[in-house]
Amino acid sequence: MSVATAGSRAQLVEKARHFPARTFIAYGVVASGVGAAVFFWALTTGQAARAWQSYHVNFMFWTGLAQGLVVFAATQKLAKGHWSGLLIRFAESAAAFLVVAVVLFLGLVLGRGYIFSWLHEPRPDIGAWLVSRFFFPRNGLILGALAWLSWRFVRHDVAPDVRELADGRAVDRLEGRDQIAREAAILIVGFAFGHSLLAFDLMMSLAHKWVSNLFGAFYFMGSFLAALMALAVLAIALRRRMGLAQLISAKQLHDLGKLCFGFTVFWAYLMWAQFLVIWYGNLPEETYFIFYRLIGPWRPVGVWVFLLVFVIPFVGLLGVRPKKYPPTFLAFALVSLAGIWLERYLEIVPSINGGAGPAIGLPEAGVTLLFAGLFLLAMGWFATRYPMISPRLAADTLQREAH
Amino acid sequence: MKLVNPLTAIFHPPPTPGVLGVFGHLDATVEAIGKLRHGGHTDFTVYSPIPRHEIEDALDQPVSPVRMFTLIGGIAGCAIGAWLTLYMSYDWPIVLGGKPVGSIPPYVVIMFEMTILFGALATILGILFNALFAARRLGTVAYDARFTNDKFGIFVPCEAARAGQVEALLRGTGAEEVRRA
Repeated sequence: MSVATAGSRAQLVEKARHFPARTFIAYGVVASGVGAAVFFWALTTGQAARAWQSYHVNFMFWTGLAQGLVVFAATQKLAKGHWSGLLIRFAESAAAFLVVAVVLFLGLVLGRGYIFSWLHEPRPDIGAWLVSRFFFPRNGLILGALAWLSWRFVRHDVAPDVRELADGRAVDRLEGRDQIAREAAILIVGFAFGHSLLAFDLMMSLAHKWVSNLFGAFYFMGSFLAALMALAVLAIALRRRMGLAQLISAKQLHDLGKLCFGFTVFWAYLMWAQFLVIWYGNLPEETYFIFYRLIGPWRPVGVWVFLLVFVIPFVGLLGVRPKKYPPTFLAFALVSLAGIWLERYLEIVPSINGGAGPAIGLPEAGVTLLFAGLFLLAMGWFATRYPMISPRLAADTLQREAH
Repeated sequence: MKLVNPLTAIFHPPPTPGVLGVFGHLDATVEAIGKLRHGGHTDFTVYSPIPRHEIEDALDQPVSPVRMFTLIGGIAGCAIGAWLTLYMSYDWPIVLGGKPVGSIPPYVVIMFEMTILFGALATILGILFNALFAARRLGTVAYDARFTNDKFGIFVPCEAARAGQVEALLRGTGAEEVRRA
């Protein structure tokens, strides 16, 4: 019954070398090149506000997504998950983007005048918390610390596989398990604290005087949902390309689909928990945030976010078959990702665009392309240096699945 | 004429004739299941002290009908939750905190909880019903207390004429003990 014989282990090592890193880099260069051109075009043709605001939207979306992917890998290590051995490295490769995100944070410092409303309307009631001299180093430090924690975790998990690919000898599945699990635990706690603070500072502070204790958790759980959907997209896109169609089985897609479905429900749960309290309290300083997004020009965006993130994936991924059949799973994952991007847009832009309605056009698409390209580039860079299939974890998954 | 108590007929149906095999190893059990299915037996019962995917895969049973009970129970619970909250609000209307008498946002919570409660209760009922129907269909099948301890078991219902053949099959796949019931 065992698949983990020497032959198939060698096969796994062979497949690990077949990641289309060049394609990733080629697409990444084109996308980020075109995106950067559109971004600079928007900056120089008087659309600087829109360009910087969509830069901020994409920064929050892609940083959260990449961090969520690494944290997903950490949850698998901590819970001793055996089903995800073939997918886990796709998730871990997002650690490379986290380093890029620290650099991209400098963009927020550059475009701060267009993004951070409290620079024009100071908030003396909050004191020293929202002052540039404390604000930017603090958030940069959070991003840097999380990138370091993620990178440390991923590097230790990758190390045995690098050795296996170099000298061809099978490594022990449990090598360095305790250290990796410890680093995973620290990363998960760091993610919850760090990304709560990022959400409060970079997103909630934009809406003048609006306070929500849940906002941090809502942001990082939304990022985690985006990460699961992105992992589904990566797994489905790569399984044929890397010759893994037989190995990434319908069972594994079903498992991943269940997580996607579960966190879709959890997103709606948190959203409702937030909405209900604000509705009940009926305090003007809380309700304006919701009303502004559900009445008037922003209403279609608000309704679409609810449909794309919750209603469509909920109905679509309810059954077993849509989760096991790659095309439907891919379609619903992409719908959810589009919804989460729109959610970030809805959380950020209405607070800072001076009362205008939603405008999603060339500048927004261009900046999204820039970030997507950088994400692909970071993944491609990772793939040229490290094995994108972990033979030891994949063998474990296949061995257990063979029963 | 002897009258049968209908409850006895449901809970203690008459014993079914057949062959009971006791297995010490999982592999032998899985092999026996495969051979029995290959030989055209469908209604046999397998006992296991622990849940194992291998047995599940070897039996390859159709999807349980219990999930339909869960679905119907959940939808009914959601509807009852909506009816309960709205009916009670309009039956004795009191304006609270300036909100509409029948206001949906808080009732969603009740509807959600009732969906779960009714879904769970319907699942238990579904399991009970299906177990009773199975008992009616299969009769009282032979059992051994060791099946909750350290042995696997297979009970194959068959008439006396074919029992010898089934006995040979079970012994051939490594049954430690075979007896007729």
